[in-house]
Amino acid sequence: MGVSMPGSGWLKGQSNIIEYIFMTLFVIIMIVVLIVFISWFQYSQIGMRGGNLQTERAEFLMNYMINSPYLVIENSMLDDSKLTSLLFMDDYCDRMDGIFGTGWSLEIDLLTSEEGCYGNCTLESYPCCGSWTFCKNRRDFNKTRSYVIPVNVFRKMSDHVELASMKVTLYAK
Amino acid sequence: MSLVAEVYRVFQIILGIILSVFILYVLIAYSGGYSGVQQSLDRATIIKNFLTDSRSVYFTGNAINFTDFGAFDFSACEVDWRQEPHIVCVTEDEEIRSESMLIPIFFNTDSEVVITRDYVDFGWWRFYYITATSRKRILFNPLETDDEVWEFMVDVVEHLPDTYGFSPKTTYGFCDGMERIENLCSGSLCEQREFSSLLTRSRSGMTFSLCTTDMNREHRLIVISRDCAPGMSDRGICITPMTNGAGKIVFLDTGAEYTFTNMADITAAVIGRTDQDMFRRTEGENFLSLNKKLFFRMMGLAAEEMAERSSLILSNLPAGSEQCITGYSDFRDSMEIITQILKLDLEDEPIAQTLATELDNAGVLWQYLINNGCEHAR
Repeated sequence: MGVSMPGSGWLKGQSNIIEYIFMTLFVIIMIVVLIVFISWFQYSQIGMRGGNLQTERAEFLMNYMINSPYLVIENSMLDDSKLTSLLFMDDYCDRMDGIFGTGWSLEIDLLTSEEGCYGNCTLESYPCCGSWTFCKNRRDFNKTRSYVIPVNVFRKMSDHVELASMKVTLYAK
Repeated sequence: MSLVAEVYRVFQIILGIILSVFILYVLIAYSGGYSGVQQSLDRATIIKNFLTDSRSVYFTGNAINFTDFGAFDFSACEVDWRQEPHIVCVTEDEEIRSESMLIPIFFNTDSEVVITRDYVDFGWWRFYYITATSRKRILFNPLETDDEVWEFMVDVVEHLPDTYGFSPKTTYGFCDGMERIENLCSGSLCEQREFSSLLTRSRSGMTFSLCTTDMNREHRLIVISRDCAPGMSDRGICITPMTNGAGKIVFLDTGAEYTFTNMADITAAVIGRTDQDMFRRTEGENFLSLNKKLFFRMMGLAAEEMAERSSLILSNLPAGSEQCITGYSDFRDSMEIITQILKLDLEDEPIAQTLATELDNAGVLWQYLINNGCEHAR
């Protein structure tokens, strides 16, 4: 008595508002989900990009080394006398970092040798040796990945060419 | 009832407007931030691409065009040579640093550049360098024209960019007082090969007065005189020809003087813009400093390695190869002398001349080794 009850119009209006709010909330949630997805996608792309950068760096290093006058007698032909003498210079690793950048090591191993010379190269064992390792002790770095290619090595004292493998290892802190 | 419906309708509209504005604000803020980050990433990628292409030219010697700089404004980019050389671009909003350059690159950042390779050859070692040049019109102003100056000018031209078959072009000509003399090749501008050929055909006898003509951004003035002094002009560079292997470069706009020992130094000085950085150094000065740093670092390692190599070979040469023994012994001594000289102050002209003399000597000794079959010719 004297109190008016809400009619069907009132209830219908209320349900319309609630429906409207739910729709809006749903749209907002979808937008947030989209933003999170895009961010996650970018984050995963950065991870993949890091891998690509390592590969590009390795390609650059291998290209540079196989054409570097410090290692070769002519393009794509390593010189065993240069490899050996470089290995026994003071601070050779730091100085090669100034040429090739940091975070790498290099191993060259003969695959075939007419004289059967395969051991580590020292000033005493040269020229009968077939293995050179540069900058192996990178204790501050974690190993990441290695790349191997076949190369030619010119044997200075016997004036002939032999086949070897060149392994470049990249490191990251 | 219709009044209630209208009230709820108004409520719907107001709530809709508020929520739309909120959603729009979030999207615009996110997109704006994302766009800024993406632009920075794109700039860094372009610089990385430039280094990759430059290295490719360094290894192969095959010149290429590079047009990615046209996507954004890279005029704020310069080389930072003071520690480990790299490219740095500093604007109000961001700072982008590239990885270490590792190789000498003298570059412009205009929308289109040609990347070429050249080298300085010492016989036992070659020093390669890269130039990335936009449209250039190089004007020579030789204030003396005797044979020595003319031959020096030919040598300079042969180490400047050769853009034959590519665009944008680097062209060459003369400046005489108020007159620019550029259309010397069948009425057209001369490229490097044509100009070099012209210089070897047209020997001395011509005279030039100091260049005072108007020049635009594309022009680079090279004055050649035995009396280069700061203040003789306000633009370009003045080069004193080499005496005993060393000469002087004077940047006429800043008055700075440097000693040069090889043609790559001159190329570096010519390629750079005349804009000054916060230290009041032009880009040419920065490139020159970069070249000296990398040149002496690379040569130092090369000389020391060749000395060690000569010792190694000497200890393994069979008896009877007297010519090789003598040759390697002399060559080793020369390399050791060069290693010692490189530890001194090479801005001092007498020391630079000593280095140049010893480098000439080393070249002769290397040729002796080749002539006697101890080394293979390149």
